[in-house]
Amino acid sequence: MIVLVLGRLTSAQTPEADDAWRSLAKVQFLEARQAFEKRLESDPADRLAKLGLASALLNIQPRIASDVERSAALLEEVVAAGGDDEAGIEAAYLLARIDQLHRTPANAERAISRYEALIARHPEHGLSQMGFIKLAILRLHGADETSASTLFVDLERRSAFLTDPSARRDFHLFMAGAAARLDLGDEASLRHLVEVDAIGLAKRKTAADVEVRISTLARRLGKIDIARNAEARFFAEFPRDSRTFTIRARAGGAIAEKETP
Amino acid sequence: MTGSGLFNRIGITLLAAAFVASVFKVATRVAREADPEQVTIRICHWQLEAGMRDAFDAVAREYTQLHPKVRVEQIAVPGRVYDSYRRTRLAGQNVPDLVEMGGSADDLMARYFLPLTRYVEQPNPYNAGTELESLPWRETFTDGLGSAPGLETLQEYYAIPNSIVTVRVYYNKSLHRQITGHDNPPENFEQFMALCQKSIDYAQQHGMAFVPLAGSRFNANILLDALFRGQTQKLSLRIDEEGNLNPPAKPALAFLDPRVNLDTPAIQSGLKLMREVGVMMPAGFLQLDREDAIFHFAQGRALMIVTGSWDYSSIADQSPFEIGLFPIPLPEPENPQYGRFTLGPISEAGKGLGVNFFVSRDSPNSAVAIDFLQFLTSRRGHELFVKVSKWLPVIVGVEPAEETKGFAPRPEGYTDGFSIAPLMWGSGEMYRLQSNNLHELLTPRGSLEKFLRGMRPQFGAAVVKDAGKIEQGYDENLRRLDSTLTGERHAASARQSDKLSAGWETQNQQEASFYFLRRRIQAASSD
Repeated sequence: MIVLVLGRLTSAQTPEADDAWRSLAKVQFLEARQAFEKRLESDPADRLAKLGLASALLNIQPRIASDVERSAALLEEVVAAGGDDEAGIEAAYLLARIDQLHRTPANAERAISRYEALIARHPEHGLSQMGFIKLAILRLHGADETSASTLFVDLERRSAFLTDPSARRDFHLFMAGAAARLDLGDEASLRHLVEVDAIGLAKRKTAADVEVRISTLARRLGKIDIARNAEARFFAEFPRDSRTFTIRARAGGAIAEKETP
Repeated sequence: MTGSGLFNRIGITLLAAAFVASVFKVATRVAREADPEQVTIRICHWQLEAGMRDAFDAVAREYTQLHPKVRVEQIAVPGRVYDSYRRTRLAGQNVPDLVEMGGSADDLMARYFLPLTRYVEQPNPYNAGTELESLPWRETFTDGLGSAPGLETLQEYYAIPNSIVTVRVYYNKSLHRQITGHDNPPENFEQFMALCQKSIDYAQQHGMAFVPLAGSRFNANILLDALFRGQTQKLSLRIDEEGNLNPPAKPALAFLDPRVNLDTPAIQSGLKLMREVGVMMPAGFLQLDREDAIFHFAQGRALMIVTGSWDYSSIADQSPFEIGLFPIPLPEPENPQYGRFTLGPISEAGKGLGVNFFVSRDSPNSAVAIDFLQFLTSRRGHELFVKVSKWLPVIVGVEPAEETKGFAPRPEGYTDGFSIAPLMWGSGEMYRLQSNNLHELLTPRGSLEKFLRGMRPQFGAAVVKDAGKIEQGYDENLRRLDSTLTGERHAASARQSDKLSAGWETQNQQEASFYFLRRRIQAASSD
């Protein structure tokens, strides 16, 4: 959905503009910067060029604070000139990313506020939905042990608005990991992994890991049918994986008796 | 004629002959390169082991027979200067068409080399007529290119592998027979240690100067690291929070877990095991080079040597005796001293493939370079490569050479454990600290206690520092992905949507790991 929504942005682009975006995608930030600067010289009001330049500036080496601040200023201009269109939404998302990761020191609270504002204004947009995952990561890993459990449930409740498959997949994947890492229970972790599996993964490596994790948790919880189904999918899809033997041994009971305290 | 006059004449004649030969070589090369239809592909690598250059030449000759206007030239550079050489060529924008690299930074890959994704998704045309003909090129590799450089972070395939390596214990069959009276190599750890002891006794009784195991830091790194990792297999499962059965990606991540430290029984057991086996190597082996160890073995001054399949041809060429091979015998669960920490043999399935070649972005003949790579990794080309090099195959259905079948990866085995740090080629604080204290563990006058006494005061800080580097790496990736994902969202291409989705998946997973790691580091720092 993100791709479909944002795909419209590319329709009116020139071949030169497309090259500039490709440079950005291919980690060629210097080339992208030059191309976007050139476009802005000929059309200082070009909002997409500002967006591209702002993106490139975040990764020009050496990273300096003035580049990050110029990037933020360009994004603010894009938002100011039409915050509710595609470019405006993308700029607002990147401003949150700047607060979260690119500024020194980072400002997680301000990033969360920006994500919340984006979600409130454009809940259907793919970038708002990705922003919800970023927000969930910041909130849960910033929580202390007593509040993590309540926060986890709250995030689950709020996630009902997620419609984009990539965002739903990544939300459930994050929640499964958070449940395991923050000791929030195998049941919760398994529940989210089963959701991930139903949506499908983009990367084979993650897909293999998810089947193994389902198998591990389901066996631990005594849900043998779920474990066997995940194992069958794993053996069929990833027969050359180095974990195959271990999983078969565990299914046969050989590992449990070998596990030491 | 006087003696000196004769020598002068011989010298002048040789000089003239060398001059004529040089002129001829340069002239033919210039003429060849002046031919507009002639294409020369240059392939640079560091595989100076016996057999490898011959193998590349053999495949190149076959390829030239199919394509008479194409020549393939090798640039073989010693491993110790290869990195400098490669960097210089990249910086000077004078990159050979095909470049071997190990791991590589994302920006380096993206800047200097071509993504090969659209090629690996199509069948390899040189597999026509074989059962691989309809498979995507990617699927013809034994691991399906699942761990290809660039795939995880850039969502592109950037390199084509040509071999896989495994490690084995090589033994001198004739000396083994002399000592034991039979031809059967050890089948388990107990038999291996008994053989080591028996060989020491035999050498003393017969006044012979050989040791059980040829040693150098390089060879010890292979053997002792494997032994240690066997001892942490169960521990690795215990700290596997997500349940994906993978060992910790970096040692610091394992030691950041509050359940793991230098006093953890499995860690101490691993260190004891390293010491017990390490003293079977010659005194001062940590100062010896890999070539010294091979020389000692080939000279009959060691019964065994532990090294990889890459050394087979070199060792076989130098050794005037028959060589046998057996897997590194890790202690099994039944072993009374070491068994309780191990699951059993470690699987060699799905290991990352090596001898990776990248295609230069600046190559004027990149299409031909890719075509050559396709031939090199076709059923026919790879069979020839394996036959001449004696390295292990990576193409489905290609068998190893007869004498190297003992190196074939053994998929039956459990998941791996982890170590504190490698003995060589490591980096970071844990590696530095271990290197500074290793002599206390691996020399007869040292002890486990002395080693631990040296490690303990700085170990916690070293773990935090190394974990901090991993955190920085995540931070760097996340920031870079913010820009590249923006580029992906706007660059119009049919394949872009899959790539974008995979990019999100990577970023969100790394972001979760980044904040979890930060949390762990803060907890460890406050302890």
